[in-house]
Amino acid sequence: MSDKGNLIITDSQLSDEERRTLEVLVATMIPANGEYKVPAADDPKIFSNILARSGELHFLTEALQTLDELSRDLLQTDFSSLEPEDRVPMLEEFNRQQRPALRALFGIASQCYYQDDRVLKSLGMDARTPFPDGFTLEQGDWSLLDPVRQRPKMYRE
Amino acid sequence: MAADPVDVLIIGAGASGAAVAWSLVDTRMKVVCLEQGNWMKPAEYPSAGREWETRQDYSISPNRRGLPVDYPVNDTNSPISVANFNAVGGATILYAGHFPRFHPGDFSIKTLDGVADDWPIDYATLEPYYAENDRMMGISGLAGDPAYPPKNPLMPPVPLGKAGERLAGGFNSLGWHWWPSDSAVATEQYDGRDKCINLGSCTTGCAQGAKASTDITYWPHAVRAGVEVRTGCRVREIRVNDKGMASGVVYYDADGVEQMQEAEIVVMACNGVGTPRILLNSSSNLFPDGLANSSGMVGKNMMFHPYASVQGVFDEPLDGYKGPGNCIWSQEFYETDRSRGFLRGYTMEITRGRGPIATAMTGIHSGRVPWGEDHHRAYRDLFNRITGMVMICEDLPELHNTVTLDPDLVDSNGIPAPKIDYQLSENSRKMLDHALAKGEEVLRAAGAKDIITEAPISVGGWHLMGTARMGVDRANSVVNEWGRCHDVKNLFIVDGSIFVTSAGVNPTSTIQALALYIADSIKKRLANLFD
Repeated sequence: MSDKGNLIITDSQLSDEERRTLEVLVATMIPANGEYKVPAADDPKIFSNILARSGELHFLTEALQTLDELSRDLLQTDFSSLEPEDRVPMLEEFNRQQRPALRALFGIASQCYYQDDRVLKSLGMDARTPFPDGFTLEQGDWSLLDPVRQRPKMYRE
Repeated sequence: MAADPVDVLIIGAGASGAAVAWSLVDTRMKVVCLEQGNWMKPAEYPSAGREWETRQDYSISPNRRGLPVDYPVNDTNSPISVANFNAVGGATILYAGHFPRFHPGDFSIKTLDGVADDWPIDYATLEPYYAENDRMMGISGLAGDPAYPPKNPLMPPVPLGKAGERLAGGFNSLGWHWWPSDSAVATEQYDGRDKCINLGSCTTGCAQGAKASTDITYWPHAVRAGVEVRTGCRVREIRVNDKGMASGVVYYDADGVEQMQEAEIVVMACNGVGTPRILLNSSSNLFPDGLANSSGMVGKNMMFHPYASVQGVFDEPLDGYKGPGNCIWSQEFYETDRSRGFLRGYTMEITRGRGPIATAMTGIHSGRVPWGEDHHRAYRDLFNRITGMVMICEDLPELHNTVTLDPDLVDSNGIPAPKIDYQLSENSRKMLDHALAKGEEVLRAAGAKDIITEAPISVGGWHLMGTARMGVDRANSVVNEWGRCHDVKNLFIVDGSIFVTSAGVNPTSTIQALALYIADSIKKRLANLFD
């Protein structure tokens, strides 16, 4: 049973315990990577955005509780207390039971992750709004059209 | 409370309502347009903010947006859900801006292919209105397309970019047709609009104003000439007098107060779902089955365009998030070839690339981007490396595909909401399968190493057509050959509802050309309009 008496400041209505499970869960989904110099999805700034959107996932509280129950059944501890090497296999097991829920959460986490300045910069993007500066697009080679120009009329009257 | 009567009352300020309003204004008649949405503020469009890929208030789905200006649509009994937008500009706020015309043969497929029905008008009738509409909307493209009769786009085509160049090479290697898309994206300054700066987010509103939505094309001209647009006004029903003529409409204003607006002429411009909804909500003693529905055709023959999507993953960086979705198209498989096992055909429209979040969602939903340690490598294999196409398949009219009134669902004013019952035909399924195979073939030819497909695109009900069809026989059509309802002589319909067939192209150009043609027909007959 989760502790509903200690809610964090979010629309998601998660308890501290559920929030911790969610943190570990999203960091397992999208871990930090030194090669690309990107943080994990539990980075405080990214995670706060995930929390802010978690209210869209009406099933989230139940899913997090189910994940913890599964973890306790199989490895006798909450998901957030698992050894790192046990988390992905547990997630795969959970995915067999709760695929739509997990996919939806992965989607929300990814949306928040790929808006982060550090992540965008690691992808070679400017961390800015598209408008007003826009982007440059090359014209391309219009001579490619030459053979098509030679085609006869294709339409029917 | 009743306002002063007006000469012309237009319901809906989208693609067709704007065109008909602008055309009718030179009659000096008092023209009022009621629009349930509001004027847009381009400075607030998603591309002016950091959340440009995730704003749910710019979703194409009215059910997902759920804004006060939206009405719900029960489309649970359809494999394709309805897309629309309620604002001054209507769905042109969110459309991609593809602007193909119908072909001459599209108006006579009964004669040519023995299927569906011929239109009571032809390409030659609409051609001057297509041209006038191109001028008002500001269309870019390139003359000389062998798939079309001669036409002269006003601005150069949108750039090929890396994606267009890649795919053009693929089409050429197979000897298939392709051509720069006719596009409602301005590539030069035009009529007060600035040119495209490749924001890459055309389908959530163009903050630059380069894309031709009617709030920045027709409406400024119409309003300056005296047309009144009342926003936040949702029409409940059209009233008729004891002579069977439309007397005006009952609507809820922006404060939710019921109003009556009398009019000499009522013009419906509410799209292929909104128009039958209002007609069916306007039943009366004279019209017990819904207004203008003596034929029983109101709400019947609902057509979407079933869409297939084929995306390729390439080894080298392409355009990614840059540039308009409009690029090039192919009509290699547009005309009927019975050896393919289906009638009619489709257009392939290249969709260029996608942003970082759309890339992630594509990767997740297709199973190509996993969670865990391999996430980042898999994501980078896709980022800026996806391009492909959608295939817009001609849908054929079928009586069992319908818009009716939901018995339970209502909008925020308590007005019964529309219910969609739609099934993909066997013809459409075969066409989608063919489109998927040909899309993969050309993408492989262009160098794609991996293919991602979807058919039909379940959220892709962008085009709403056929539910108040045009025809000379009042027994099986709702409006005559110039848009006047057979049953109600001062009621006109100018939106996609009146389409007899759907062709295999985006409909906005034809919707607007029809609206201009019907407006001109009204103007030419003013002395005896109701005879």
